[in-house]
Amino acid sequence: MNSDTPSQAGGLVDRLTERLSRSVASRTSRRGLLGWLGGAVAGGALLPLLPVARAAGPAQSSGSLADRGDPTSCDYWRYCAIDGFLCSCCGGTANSCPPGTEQSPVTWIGTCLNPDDGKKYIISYNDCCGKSGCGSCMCNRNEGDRPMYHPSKSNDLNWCLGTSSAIYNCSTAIITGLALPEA
Amino acid sequence: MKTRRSTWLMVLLVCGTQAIASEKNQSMAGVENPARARVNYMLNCQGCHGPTGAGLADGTVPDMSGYLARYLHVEGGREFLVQVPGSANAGISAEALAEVLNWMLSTMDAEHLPSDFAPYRAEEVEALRLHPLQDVVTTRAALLTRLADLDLEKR
Amino acid sequence: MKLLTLVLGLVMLVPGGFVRADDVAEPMGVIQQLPASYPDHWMMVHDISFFHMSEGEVLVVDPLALTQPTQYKGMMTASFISAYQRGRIRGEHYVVETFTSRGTRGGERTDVVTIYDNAGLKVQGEVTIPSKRVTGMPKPIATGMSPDERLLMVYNFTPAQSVSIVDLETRSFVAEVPTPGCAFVVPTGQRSFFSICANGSLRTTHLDQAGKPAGSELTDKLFDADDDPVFEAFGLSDDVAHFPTFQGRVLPINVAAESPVAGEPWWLTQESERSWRPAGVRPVITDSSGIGYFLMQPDGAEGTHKNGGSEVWVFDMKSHQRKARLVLRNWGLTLGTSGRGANRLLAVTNDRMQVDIYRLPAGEFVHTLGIEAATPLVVHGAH
Repeated sequence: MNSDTPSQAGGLVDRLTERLSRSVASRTSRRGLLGWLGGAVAGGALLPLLPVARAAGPAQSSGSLADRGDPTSCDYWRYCAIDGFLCSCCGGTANSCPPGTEQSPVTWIGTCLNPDDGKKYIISYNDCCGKSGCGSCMCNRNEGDRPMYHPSKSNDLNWCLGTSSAIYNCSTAIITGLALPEA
Repeated sequence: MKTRRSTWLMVLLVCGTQAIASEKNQSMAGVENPARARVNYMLNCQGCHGPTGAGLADGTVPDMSGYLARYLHVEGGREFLVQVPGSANAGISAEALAEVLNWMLSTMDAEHLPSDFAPYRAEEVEALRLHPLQDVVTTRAALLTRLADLDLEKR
Repeated sequence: MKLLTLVLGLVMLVPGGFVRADDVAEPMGVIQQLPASYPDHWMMVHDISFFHMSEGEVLVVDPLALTQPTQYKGMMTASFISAYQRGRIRGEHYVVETFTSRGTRGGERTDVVTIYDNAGLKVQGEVTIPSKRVTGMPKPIATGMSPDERLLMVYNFTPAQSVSIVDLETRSFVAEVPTPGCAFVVPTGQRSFFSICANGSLRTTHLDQAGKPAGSELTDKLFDADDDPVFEAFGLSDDVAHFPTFQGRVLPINVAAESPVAGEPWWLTQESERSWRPAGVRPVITDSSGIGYFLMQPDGAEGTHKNGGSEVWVFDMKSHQRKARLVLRNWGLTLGTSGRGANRLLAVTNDRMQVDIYRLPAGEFVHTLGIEAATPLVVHGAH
């Protein structure tokens, strides 16, 4: 075998995205390519911090929530354990589904650290269902993710359950509350 | 049914009213810290059972709201609520699980809470967790039959 | 050129020497056949097609052939992040898949086990099962088969948990067995399987000869499902299923008898090497000789368990001794194997979603497969 040790890189999905970007590079415009990569490219800290779009999503608990970052970027703090296409790149937002889809009532719920206020928030990763996979802004992060036999902590499951359609479209990250300080 | 599935706020309001009506101000039996109980519910139960315990409309996840405390009225029901896998397997301490169960009973189905309700305690929960149910489906079916019989007696 | 003209001219001079149409016409309707028994080193490469989930496929591949056209032997479709089982005894393939009446947007859901034959790759039969099978990232233990390959077991998640039993001989659905609190199917003994429970215990379900449920039992808690959970994958060696954990232990479970027997967990790493952790979609595989291969990541930490690694560590599964560290040519995401004897191969899906082939046990790099597959995350051997 080769003696070069490949460097540790990002997650599986960075690799998926990278592969995709290569395969589509030859047949898409530069703009299209950037569209594919979305947040993966925009993840650097140099970009201006954007407010979270709060279109049709569930009401937030607090209007004063310190919630900066780019919700179309995989780096966005709420996505610390998301697995799939970011709805914010698919016609929805970080906490709402794209037009014409259906939000799954069952899901898994984890916690993410908000770097702005240093607090951990409870995040519900509800899937949006009823249209085929969005395909944009693939993002996979796994802080606190556990295997599928621990369903309440697993992002590998297709959570389009209890919906009229089992077809997965994209993933949201909805704040449901503040975690306990020790959690 | 519709009213039971109404907003979380409504459930809280109902509970709040009851708590105020009882002699102990704003306290739920066996719940030292309601905020903590709610967080533990969110992190360990809400994903499948939903924010109000309403479950799924197709019955795949049963509706606990307005029903949960009825289990305490039949033999084996109190044990079942701890031994059912979602409770028994939850990755939280016996203290935390006891508190979540007491919180769920008070917030989701205060109307059926027995007048002599003794809150779950950690020791009881710990002991029951050591003996998970072998046959959950049969046990639950038997409990539901007992509950149906109880309804008939009352008529 | 001059010679050719001359020859053609002579042919035209000869009466009746014109080339007749039926001499060059090629036969219509020819469809290729594969051997009824595949060479041991062939692989079934499962592309779950993450970006177009209803268009998954299982490719039949000769990984030692030199070019893409010679590697690609044929294909089975595998709809909606399906599962695959290889039927060695009857020379069949089993694809556990999901169809919806309105395709890309849903509609009525139908789950089936589709049965293909080795030679024709044609659908030989289809068994409709409850429309409950788990869908998500592919896990090798989402389905399982009894050792006699008569019973196929399919894990369901709705989120209620159960297992569907299919009789592959009669091609019929037998039963759905509830497995509350517990997931997956790992066959044990001749007619039993165990599921892994959220509290780190195992739930064993016994079946009768025909596959009907015949009792169940629970083990004690065997691992910490929160702090150091086992992966949803094992390597089988001498009737022991070795499950790696996130932190790098291995939980051995003997599956020879109808009830699983857990052994003492062992470490993949020395104390000084604990930053190395198993990681990946399928981070462990055992070859046909029972040697174990673990995909290892140098800087393992919370949340990196799916990211794969840069080395494959080779273990004697009996003595738990590490025999070698294979440095991969490309960062690996998941492991597969095929072949027997001197023709054993390791397949590593790399960080560009290509499949790298290495020879076992020494790990010489052979080549990268030329086949095109978007997300080939599970590789099954024909051995």
